[in-house]
Amino acid sequence: MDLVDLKIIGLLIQDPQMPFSRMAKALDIGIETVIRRYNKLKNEGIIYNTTITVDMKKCGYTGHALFLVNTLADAEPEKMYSELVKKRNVLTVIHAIGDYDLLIHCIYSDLDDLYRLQREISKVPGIKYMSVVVVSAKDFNTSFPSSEYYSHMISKMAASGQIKT
Amino acid sequence: MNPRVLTLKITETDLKIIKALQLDARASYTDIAKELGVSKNIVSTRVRLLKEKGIINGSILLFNLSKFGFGCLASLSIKAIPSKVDDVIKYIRSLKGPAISASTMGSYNLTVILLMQDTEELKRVIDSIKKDPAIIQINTCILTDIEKALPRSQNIDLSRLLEAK
Repeated sequence: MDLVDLKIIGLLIQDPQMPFSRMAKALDIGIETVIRRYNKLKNEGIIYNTTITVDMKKCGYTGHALFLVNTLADAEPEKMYSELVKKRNVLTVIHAIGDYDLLIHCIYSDLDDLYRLQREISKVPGIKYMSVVVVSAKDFNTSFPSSEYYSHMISKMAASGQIKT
Repeated sequence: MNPRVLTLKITETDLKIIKALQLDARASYTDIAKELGVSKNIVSTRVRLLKEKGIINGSILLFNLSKFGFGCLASLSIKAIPSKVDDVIKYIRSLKGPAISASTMGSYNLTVILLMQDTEELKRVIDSIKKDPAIIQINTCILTDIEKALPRSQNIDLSRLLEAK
């Protein structure tokens, strides 16, 4: 990664949908160079992709919940992971070390829906126990992915001089 | 805003457009149109409508945290004196370290997601959180494989949008 790459990332952070032509103009380099570098950053796994954020409330959801899962000693974490990430309204699954082994972040429309989700998740083989915490709506940004989370990250990166914006 | 726009119904095509942009916010309207078998004009009109309705409310770049010096993601599940939860949140937010802090219902009444450079920084932040006398207990979990913990917005069931007027 060199300065030009960092500048490309900086532009993508500001506007993930900025056309390549505008990026080329802003950086005063050729459009082919921008596209080549963009693809390279993707292939090297430095950036993944871009995504739109949607308003959860408008999509009919009222809250977020976290399932804290303890797995059985003979569970197959990778298999559980790939099964869980396919489930409807499961937004993030993360392996954890500590009091629990998996953290599952979901959204639900009402308590019946949350209950259904819990039943569905608990069918995945390998779960020993799971507890749930429901996130109070006032503390969560209703857009997903959370722009709050990403802007926090970006301000930390900018503070440590890792990105140029 | 054009008031007529708000009364327009969301269609199956809209949901497919949202999904396509969730997978890649930079996807060209031409490609999306081809895939859905509609004209490019329809795609751009519908995207504009979805934005005006506030269903699509932004876009973000997803990047590899570890390549930018974030080696440590942790989740703190906190038990705090119930009447003091709001103050504890205010205090934790003032520390600037945490990416997300939210009050929760269930086994814990606070959840904090910390995005840190390393475990030393994590320890420092946890130590300062601990200073709040309203906190009864903190359970720390280190989240691993964070490269795989991408937000899966494409899992959001959007069908409720169809029911909305």
